[in-house]
This record gives sequence, structure tokens and C-alpha cells, in this order.
Amino acid sequence: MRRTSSKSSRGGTILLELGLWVAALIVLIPFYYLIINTLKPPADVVARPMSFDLKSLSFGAYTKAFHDMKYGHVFLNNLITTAGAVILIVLIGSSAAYTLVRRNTKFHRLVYYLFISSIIVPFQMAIVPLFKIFVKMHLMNTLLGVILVFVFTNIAFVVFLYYSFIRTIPYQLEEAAKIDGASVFRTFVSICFPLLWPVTGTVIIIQSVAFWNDFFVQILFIVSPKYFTITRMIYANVGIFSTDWSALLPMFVLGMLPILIFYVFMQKSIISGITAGSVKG
Amino acid sequence: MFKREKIKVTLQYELLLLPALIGFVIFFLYPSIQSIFYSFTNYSVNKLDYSFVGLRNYVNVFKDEHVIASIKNTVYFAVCSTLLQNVLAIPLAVALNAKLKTKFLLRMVYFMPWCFSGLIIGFLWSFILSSSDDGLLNHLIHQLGIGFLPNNWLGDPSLAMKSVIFVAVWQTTGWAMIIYLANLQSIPAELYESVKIDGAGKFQAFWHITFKFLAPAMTINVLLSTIGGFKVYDQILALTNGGPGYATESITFSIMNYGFSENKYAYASALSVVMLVVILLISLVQLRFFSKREDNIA
Repeated sequence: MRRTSSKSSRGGTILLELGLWVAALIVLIPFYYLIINTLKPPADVVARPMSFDLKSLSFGAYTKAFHDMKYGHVFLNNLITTAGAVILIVLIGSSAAYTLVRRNTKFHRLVYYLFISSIIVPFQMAIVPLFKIFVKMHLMNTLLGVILVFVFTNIAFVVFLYYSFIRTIPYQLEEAAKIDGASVFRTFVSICFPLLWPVTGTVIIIQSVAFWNDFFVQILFIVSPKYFTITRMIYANVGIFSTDWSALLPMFVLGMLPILIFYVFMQKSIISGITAGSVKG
Repeated sequence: MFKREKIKVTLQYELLLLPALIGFVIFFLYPSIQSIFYSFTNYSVNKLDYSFVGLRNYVNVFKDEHVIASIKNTVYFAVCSTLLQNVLAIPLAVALNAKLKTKFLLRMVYFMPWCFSGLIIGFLWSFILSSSDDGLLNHLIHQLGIGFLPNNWLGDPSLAMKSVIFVAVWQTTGWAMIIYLANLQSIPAELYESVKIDGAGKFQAFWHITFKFLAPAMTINVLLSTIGGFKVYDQILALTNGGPGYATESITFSIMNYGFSENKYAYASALSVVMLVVILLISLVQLRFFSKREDNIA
């Protein structure tokens, strides 16, 4: 049966759409406010927050912010920690899940339950002793330390995602390779791993956003500005510039810009990744 | 010869598992268990040795007004933000599931805030809600001539937590909406046709079918949002820094404060154990309740 689209229901749809756009203003206005106030002379930011005059358009605030927050440097730190942690978590997580599925012994089942039951444990449980471990291992104030914490506080969830997927892959696919004398490692890399792409995509998306936006790990383990990432630098600068809004607002825009670009281009994969990740989780 | 081959295969398998297992033990499992252990001692960074004190830290937790306030704040935050987020996200998802011309653009707009760092979003809103007359919201209130409305959004102890919850809901509703949308698309259309034949109105159809069949998404949303709510830190840090007084401090603020500023390791460990227990209890109750609802779909 097809829905009859009478005039009144079409009118209702238009009204609904209009209403949704009005409601969307609650989402959009803060961003509008943020952006217009970065494009005008500093004095106007305080005096006339909602007004915007094209004639006085200026990008000066951005050059200053770019310099003040050492944007290139903090961006690179963000990129290194996020990319490093995502690559590591995909490799380590998928291979561990592979073994846990294919070797179904008591020990492996125990390890699997250990992983999944730890998913609910908050990271806050580990931080005090972890601080000591970091000092001992000379990981304090290093990007490697941040990467390791990212990876191993999220590994359980990633193993869980891969585990559920690998279980659906029939072993027969790998048998032929095994008979031909391929090693376990070769079989995993050349036959199993390529089939895992749907999960790998989900993991990359969810973890990239989480790692990129992280602040908690940074505030715990990074002290030196040399290793600051974007959020950590913004936090420090809010302390320095305190109420100088015209200096801070462009920093927020620069802080959000990379993820905004990522969002605009990857929107569909982000949304399907989030859905897949949470429906399984 | 054959046996050696088998050992080789076993070894190769274990080698694939080892990096994840070792890292997980060193950086998560071991420190978490250590926290439980320390919570029964008087361990502190200043002392060379420590002794067992039984449940003293736990008794102190429940005597400490500051900590009790932070636990109450956290529960209040987690419950209210979860409730509001879902109350808003369900109608939003239903509306955006309709045949609208701009539905994809609208979805994109509503979901966008979720992608950004909670810290930056918190700072942005702290400027908008600023108690000074230059704050955007107060500026608008003045211009609209509705000056009787409250204006110390983040500085008034009775308003501050509500403002914090508003910002959290503002940022996460789009995320919950996405989960509901995915669930909506799995509800068979025939069900709607059959109730239509029975003469049910739109509202009844929503109540008897949509709302009921959204149970799986609701379980996920409520559970993840509550757990996330219990861990809240960045946003509050940026918005109010826990203030005024400690009106908006969450449990994580207390852990950070005792663990790192005052070096009371054992006490902070006990707090983190309390946090775990609260999360476990609430998740179990929710899972029980919501899985029953899921069973009802048949």
C-alpha cells in the first residue's frame, strides 16, 4: 500500500521540516556566535557579540591564535598520538581477537571474559597506580606513554568488536592456506584481516574521534608544553588569556577545525561506524 | 616431527595474543587491582611503607561532605542528562525518519556537536553563559527586554548544575538520535499498516509500536549515557571548574583532587572503587529493567 499524500499531510511535513530547522538553530547559533566573533576587530567582540559587519572583516585574530597556540606543533602531536594509537589498536586488537576465536581453550575463554568484563570498569580506577607505573617506566611526559594508555584502556572493547565478527568467518576459508603450509601469521594477515574491514572501519572512526578529542590522559601524564596536544594547549591558554575572549575564540575554532573537516567528509562512515559500534557494544 | 609442528602453531597463535594481553595487564588490569588493594591501606606517596587499615578509607568516604556532594552531583548529572537526552532524541529521530527534503542535512547538523572535544564545547558555552553582561545569553536577554530571567547561569549554585546538564544534553542528543534512527529503520512497516486498519491514531501507533520497538536502542543509549555521565570531567572542568564552591564537582574531580593534589593515594583509590561499584550497580539494574522490555517485543 502506498501512503496517500493529501494536501494537508504535505503541509504538515513542510511545517515539521520548518520546526526542525528552528530547533536546529539551538545547535547552530553557538557556532555562528563563535565564528563571527573571530572575524571582527577585538573591541567589537565584547561590545557587540551578535553583530557582524562584512566591512570590518579581519583574519588578524587567526594569525595571532595560530602563533599563540603553536598550532603546527600541537597539531602534529595530536596527529602522532591519534594515528599511532589507532594503528596499534587495530593491529593488536584484531590479532588478539583472532587467537581468542581460533584457540578455544579454557585459558583463552578466561582471557576473553577478562577483556569483556573490564569494559565497564572506568579508567579512573587505574589512574593513581598508573601514575606510579609511568614514573617507573619513564613514560611520564612522553607521546609514547599517551599512545600506550589510549591503546590499552580501549583494547578490551576493540577485541570484543573483532571477536564477535571473526566468529562469523568460517574456518574453512583458512584451511586451504594452512594445508599449503602458510604460517598462522601469514594466514591471519592475508586471509582473515582483509575480511575484517567493516569492523576495522568502525574501530578507526570511533577511536580516532575519541583519541583526537581526549583531554583527560593529557592532563594526567603530560606536563611539558613540548608534548601538548590541541585540547591541552587550549586548556593552558584559557589559563593564560583568561578573559581575553577575542584571543581565545579563534583558538576554539582552530581546535575544532580538523574534526569538522573529518566530519564533513566522513559523515556517512562516522554515523554508520557509531551505530555499528554501539549496537554491538 | 609432527608434535614439533603443533607446538610451533600454538606458539604462533599465542604470539598474536601476547601484545594485547601484556599491555592490558600492565596498563589497565594491574593498576585497577592495585587500586582495590590500596583502598584498604593507608598508602601515600609521602610514606615509605604502609599498613592495612581495613575499611577506614571507605568509612571516611561516607563521612566526607565534600565527597558525598561529588557523588550526589555525579548521580544527579548522570540521571538527568540521560533522561533529557532520550526524551529529546526519540521524537527527533522519529521526525527525521519522515520523508523530509532536508533530512540528511538536518541529521548532520544535530549530530555535529558530538564530534567535538567536550573541553572546547565546555569553554565555548562558558563564554555564552558567562555571568557578565557580555555573555551572549545575557546580552540577548537584555536586548529582548526580559531582564527578569536569571542570569548567573554558571555562578549561582542552584543553577550551575542545570546549566552543565544542558550543555551535556546539547552535545550528546544527536548521538542518541543516530542510534534511535538506526533502530527505527529496522521496524517492519507492515506493523504500522495493521494498526492503521485497526483504526489507531498516530499517537497510538507511536506508543504501541515505535516506542515499544525502540527498546534495544533505548537500552544502549541509557546504559552508555549513564556510564559516560558517571565519568564526566572535561566539560565540567571547562564550564565551571567544579564551582561555585563544589556545586558541580563530579567524582572524578574528587579522585583527581585527593590522588594528585593532596597525595592521598589510598583514599583516592577507595573513591575509585566506590565509583566502580556505583557504575556496576546502576548498569545491572538498568540491564535487568531494559532487557525485560526487549523481551516484550515478540
